[in-house]
Amino acid sequence: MNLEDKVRVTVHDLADGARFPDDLAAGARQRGRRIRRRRQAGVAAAAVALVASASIPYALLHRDEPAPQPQPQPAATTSRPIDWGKSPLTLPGKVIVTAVSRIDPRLADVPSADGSVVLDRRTGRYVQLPDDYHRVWGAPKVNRAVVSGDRHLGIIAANGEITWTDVTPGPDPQWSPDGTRVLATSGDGFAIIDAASGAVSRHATFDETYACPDECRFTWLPDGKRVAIPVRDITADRSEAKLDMAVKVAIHDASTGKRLETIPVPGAPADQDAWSPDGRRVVLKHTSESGWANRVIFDVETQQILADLGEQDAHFLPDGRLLGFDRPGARVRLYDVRGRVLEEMSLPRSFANRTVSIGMP
Amino acid sequence: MKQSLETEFTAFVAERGPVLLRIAHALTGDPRAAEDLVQGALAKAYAKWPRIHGDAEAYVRRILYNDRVSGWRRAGRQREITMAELPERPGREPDIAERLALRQALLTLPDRQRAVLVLRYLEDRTVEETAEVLGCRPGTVASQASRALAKLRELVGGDLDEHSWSMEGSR
Repeated sequence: MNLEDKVRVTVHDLADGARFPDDLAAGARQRGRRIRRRRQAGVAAAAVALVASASIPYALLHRDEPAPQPQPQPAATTSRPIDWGKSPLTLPGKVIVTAVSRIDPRLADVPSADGSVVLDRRTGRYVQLPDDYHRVWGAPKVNRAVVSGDRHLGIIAANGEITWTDVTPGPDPQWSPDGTRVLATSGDGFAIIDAASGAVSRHATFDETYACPDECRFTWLPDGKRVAIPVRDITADRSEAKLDMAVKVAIHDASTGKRLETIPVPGAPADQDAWSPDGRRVVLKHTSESGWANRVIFDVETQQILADLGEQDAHFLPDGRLLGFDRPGARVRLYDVRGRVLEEMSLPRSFANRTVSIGMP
Repeated sequence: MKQSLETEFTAFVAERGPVLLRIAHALTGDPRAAEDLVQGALAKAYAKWPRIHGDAEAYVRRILYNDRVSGWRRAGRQREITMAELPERPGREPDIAERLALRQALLTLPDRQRAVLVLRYLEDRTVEETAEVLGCRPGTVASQASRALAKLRELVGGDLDEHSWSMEGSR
């Protein structure tokens, strides 16, 4: 009997120790009703929050959050918008908010007061999405959003109709720069979803999948024709105690899946629009010892980190500047490529602890 | 919720509850924790029952595993639990002692690694199916399983492949 057989026997032994309580259904029903009540209360609260920001003091909501990193004084500040749900909310850099997503309830038991909203470009108003969708990633142009359901990703078109695909939700899907396709990282490579038709083309990248670090996610390059995936040092020891270190990215042709080249990059490209428009710089996810993941700007040509933005999310804009969202979702800052703060804006309080998608007006 | 759906939920718990509890007990190693895990997953299913009752078991299983490993995801990586003492090595009764040692070692593995082993060896899921339930890549499943087995070998001893076990008392 080999080790695997013995593990099988032991796991069955462990399972055999289960006992069946008499009141399992009753207890589940009681907890389930509480969840439903919270959701119903949450939908109402979220609807109110859309038209008027809550007045709960910021400090009360974020007692456990680490203090934001001190930032240099921005050249300009914009006050918090009050009544933001009725027209596209413009952020520094002249981009707009296309969606605000709740935290994935599969990962954290949060009430749906932290619900998701998406911009209806036809009316210019934000609409609340049903609870069925776990996460929402707003489209930068044309369409409304890609959403994750229990099993698959769905595309919400401009008219609000949803097309479900057979693509399983994985790491954050990425909208193509022109907003017509969605890039999804799959178990053995990547899939490209055509937003208009829902058609899926799949490409296997076995070598990269094998060598992918923990932060394993394909990102679009700015030309919309190539995609990149981080690659770890496969000779290095792996440890449960720390994240894998990426040492390069592999660039693939988005339409054929063929690997084109590799570039030394010491980290995983982060978020939507991780690459600068000229492809020379990239926003990387940098996890500190405390476990918080900051965003840093890395210069691919000089192999230097240009700046640690200390933000939770950061995106390159079409003009080469960057937009960074802080960890609690309280502020957004516009940066130049050296990491200097150009403008700062306070976000509506109802954005707290949600993720924001941006796009072009 | 309509009475017919309430009845259906109760019947589902009665019929599938024992299987779910076995999984949860293998994941947690503790009857109370297992009950809490299953009850929490069933509660989420109950809250959505009108929409998911046609495929409730797959939904509950997914919640079960996700709830168990979600701490790993939220915190980035969960550190392995350091055992105060190494598990007892097989002595005069290699079968029983080794079984106990392996069981103890199994419970020290990180939640995600244990979830992989439960899916692979209790539920007999393929690597691909395991990856789908855990929402990760098949490559991650393979590497987690490999690390888990290596850790068990390290904790229990290098002669794990030598002794045969009696299957009595096991499924």
